[in-house]
Amino acid sequence: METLQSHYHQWGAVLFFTVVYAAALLFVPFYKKMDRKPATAYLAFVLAFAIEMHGIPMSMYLISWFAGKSLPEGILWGHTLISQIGYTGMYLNILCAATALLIIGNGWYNIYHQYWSKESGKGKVVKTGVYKYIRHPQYTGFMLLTVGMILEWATLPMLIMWPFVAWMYYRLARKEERDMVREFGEEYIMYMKKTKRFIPFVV
Amino acid sequence: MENEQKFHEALQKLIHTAPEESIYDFMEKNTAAFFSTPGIAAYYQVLKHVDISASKRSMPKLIKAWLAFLSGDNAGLYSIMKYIDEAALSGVHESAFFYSLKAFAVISDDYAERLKYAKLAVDILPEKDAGLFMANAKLTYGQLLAGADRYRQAAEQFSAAHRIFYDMDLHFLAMIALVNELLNRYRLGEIPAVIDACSRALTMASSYKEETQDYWNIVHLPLGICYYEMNKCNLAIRHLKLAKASIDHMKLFHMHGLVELYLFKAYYLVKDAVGMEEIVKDTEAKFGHMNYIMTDLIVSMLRLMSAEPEGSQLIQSDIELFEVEYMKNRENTQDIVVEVLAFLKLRGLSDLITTEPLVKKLEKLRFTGMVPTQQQFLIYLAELHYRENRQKEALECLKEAAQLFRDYGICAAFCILPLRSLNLLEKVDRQLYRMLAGDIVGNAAAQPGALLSAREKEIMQLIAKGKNNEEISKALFIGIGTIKWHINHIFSKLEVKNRVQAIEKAKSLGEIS
Repeated sequence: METLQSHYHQWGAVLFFTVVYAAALLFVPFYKKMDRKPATAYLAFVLAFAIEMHGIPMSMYLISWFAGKSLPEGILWGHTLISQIGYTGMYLNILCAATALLIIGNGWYNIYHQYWSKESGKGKVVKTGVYKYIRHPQYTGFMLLTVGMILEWATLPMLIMWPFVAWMYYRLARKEERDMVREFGEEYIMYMKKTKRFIPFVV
Repeated sequence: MENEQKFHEALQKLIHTAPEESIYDFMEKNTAAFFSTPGIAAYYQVLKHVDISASKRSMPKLIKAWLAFLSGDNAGLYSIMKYIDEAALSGVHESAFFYSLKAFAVISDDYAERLKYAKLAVDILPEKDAGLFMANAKLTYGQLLAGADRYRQAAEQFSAAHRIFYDMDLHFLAMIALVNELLNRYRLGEIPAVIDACSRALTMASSYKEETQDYWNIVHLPLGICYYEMNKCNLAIRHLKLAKASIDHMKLFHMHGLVELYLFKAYYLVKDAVGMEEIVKDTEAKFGHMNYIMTDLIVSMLRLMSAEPEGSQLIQSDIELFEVEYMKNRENTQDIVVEVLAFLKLRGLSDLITTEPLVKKLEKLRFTGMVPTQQQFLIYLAELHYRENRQKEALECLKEAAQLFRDYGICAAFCILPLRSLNLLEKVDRQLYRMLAGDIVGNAAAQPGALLSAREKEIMQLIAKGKNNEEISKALFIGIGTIKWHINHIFSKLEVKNRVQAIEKAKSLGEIS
């Protein structure tokens, strides 16, 4: 069993988590400048997660210093709500990450083979695979990844950053939809009517 | 029709007795009355010889110009337009009325310019305006948007115009706006919604007095078209006939073409040669003298579709017309030209078209959202691919066409020609395949010369495949007793004694393949 102290100052682990989570970005095509902003925000989120979990729990020290007393484990540091739910958060994170990677992978696969297919010249509206249900699987994937991180190891910076990351991806999704309507016209409008933006059958 | 008559008489009386100024007063006061019935051409005839050019007032000129336009007198329209001074227009209503008309009347190849004027007319009025001029501006803008293949926006404008006209109790105009809205929504594939809207409008119309009911009969047009696309041709014919009678009666020449085209296609699918010939003669009489390319194309298309393959000598000029149109405009040619050339190619009557223009057209149709034509082109493309031994491409096209059926419930396009690629469809969508196989038989049954009923043919097909009664019963989900009953009928109709004879006789009569 890991001890709390052994959790910190493992810079290899910091690097590992950063690289693994950042790798998800590779499966999103960067073809316009605007795409980078949410990606940067996501990367910052990943860094905050990795550093506070395996590097130095900076925000915990800061809050304790301000409050004058140390926070109990599971509140803004350590495994989220560990005294209430134990390691459930960690398992949920693993589930979220696995789902997210599947969705992102499937989305990438379909986009790569249809929208970006070079040999057939022009791309077309992708409606297969995960795109049958949602229009922005990759962004759903990122939301899942970040929610999972919060479930595992919530810290104050992450809780503050999450709404911003989510909002940026929401805005990006809307902008991309406008671009798609310009590119594909009614075909995309009709596709939008049949699908949801992020969560199948919900939103 | 009573009010219409009174108004007409009042107008005529005034023209002959009153001074010009009071005629203008009358016109300005009764603007709505001029446009709220199909009697537009008659009013224009009365006003035609009133010399309005010297007047300082713009509204009477605008009214006369609109009447000229709506009566199809373009020469008259342009001569009045010359006297309308843009700078002398007073108030937003006159300006909107003017710019709407200018959107139609401007002589320009640049469609964007027309759209600009139509939009200006809407924008110039206060947003909350819900009067005649706003509704007219929206109706005009909708027409131009539809002409630019922007069906969704067009439908929105028509819908808004419909509401305004309806609230003003201008039923004729409300109907025009509604029918246009529904025709555009039909293009977008919103078949169930259009059918519901038509039924609602017809229910409401039946509670009105007789005089407005005739107007609302036009609602049978989008309804009939939807039924046609769903391959319910007998129902389509019933509704389209009603629509056609009203359109003919009211002389709504703007709606001609469409109703004839779909009524013809419905007759075509049920193989009603008499109905087809009737429509061909009717359109030849109506459009023959117009020398307008679009109507010429429609007439030629109908002649081509109704001709038997053996009589190809008679339709050679029609074939050539389409070939010339295509060679002239290539990529920019109208959908109907590509559609008919593909049809001719599949029937072996013209070899001009290749798959490439069909693919290009499809790309455009996907963008504009013209769903029924999209399906038709996909099917022709699939068939062309299939006949040139490109099974994979054919399958892709059929998949997309079948998806359009699942999404929008349309499938008439599958039945225009006997498809060799139909067996591929069995793998794509079994339900659609079986339905089509049944429908093709069902439609043929309405053919006057057909001996066996649709059900009997189905059974006969299975007998020819060597199935016994039990197998047939399982395949068609009916009892063995019923099968025996049907078979007895078949035998007596074919005047045979056993199955082997029946198969031979049915084949020789062309009842089964």
